Amino acid sequence: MLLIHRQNATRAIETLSIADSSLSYHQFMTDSPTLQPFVPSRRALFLAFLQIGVSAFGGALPWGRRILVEDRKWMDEHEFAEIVTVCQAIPGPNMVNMAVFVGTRYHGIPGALLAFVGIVGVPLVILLLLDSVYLAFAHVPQVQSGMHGMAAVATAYMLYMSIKMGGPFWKRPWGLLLGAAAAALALFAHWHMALVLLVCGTVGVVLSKRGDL
Amino acid sequence: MKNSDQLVDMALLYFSLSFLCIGGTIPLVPDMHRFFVDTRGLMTTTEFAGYIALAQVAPGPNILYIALFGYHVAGIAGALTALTAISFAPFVMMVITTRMFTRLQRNPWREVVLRGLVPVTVGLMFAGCMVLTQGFADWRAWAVAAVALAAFMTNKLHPLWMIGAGAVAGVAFGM
Repeated sequence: MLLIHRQNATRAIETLSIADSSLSYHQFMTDSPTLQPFVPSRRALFLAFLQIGVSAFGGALPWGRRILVEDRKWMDEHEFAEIVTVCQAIPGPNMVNMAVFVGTRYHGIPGALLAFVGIVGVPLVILLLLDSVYLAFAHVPQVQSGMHGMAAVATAYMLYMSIKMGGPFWKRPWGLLLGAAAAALALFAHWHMALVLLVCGTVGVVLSKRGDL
Repeated sequence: MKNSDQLVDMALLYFSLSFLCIGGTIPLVPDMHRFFVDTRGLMTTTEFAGYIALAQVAPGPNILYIALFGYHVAGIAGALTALTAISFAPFVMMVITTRMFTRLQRNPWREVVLRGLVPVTVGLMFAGCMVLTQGFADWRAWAVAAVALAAFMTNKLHPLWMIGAGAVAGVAFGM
């Protein structure tokens, strides 16, 4: 992306320099509002992901978009979407991967670690506190009842997410069959996930290459 | 079995799973359930599902229930071990990916591989849900889950409110 921008910019400079030969490349790069190479400080990086972490209730992605694109303007809508697709291709939760991506991009591996700790650290402390509160009252029957109700809803939420994620595939018989096969192998044949992913994933990639998915 | 052995085994489990958690960690639920509930007997299915629910109520990315499982095996050390182990492969792979971002973006195989993996991931997520329903005590849990699913499908109500409503329903029905 950036590379293309730069090439375009160089081309633009060439045309511009016909009109005004005094305009240098450096001036063009720094004067242009869209091409300013902005680098947030390490502190800003850490704080941005800390903010995403603590505000992310039930799915961090919408918050990541709001904070990185709308508030901080570190990237535009389009670039955010592109980074998300890459994050999806790599193992791990999308928003944590996004933290590592943005951290690496601005400050290398130390930046990645800072962003990671930022997004995970404070929520972890909150969760452990919540857990100890729960354990302190776990003997109360009502607390147990409430937990059963919460667990039922959380299960329904996971089912909803899987239905939503599989959305475009329900209309394609091969996708449905492959998903059902993966579920059955994990549930009834007790295959480990690695084996399911290896076997069904290979079939999936072949089907997808042939255009059946 | 000693606590430190549990910790090492859990670290190895999460380290190996960290390479596989494409599409988040929910597809790992069947494997985690086997380790914590079936093989080791470290918690019941209801506790297992309860910790996932608790993590949904708290803010933050949804890998944190993994730290919660670790916490219940070996305290703070367990929580940090679990979180570090599950994050290892994604972290390293993301750092490498960031450096070759433009090249990866243009690779036509990216789309093909992603399309091929989605049905498998969804299937594993579904299997995870079915594993969790083993912890449902009776028909009331099924009823609450069914109503919640219908609500999720039909309106965009925030999951947090829904889980809160689930807690109220649990107390009201004495689940």
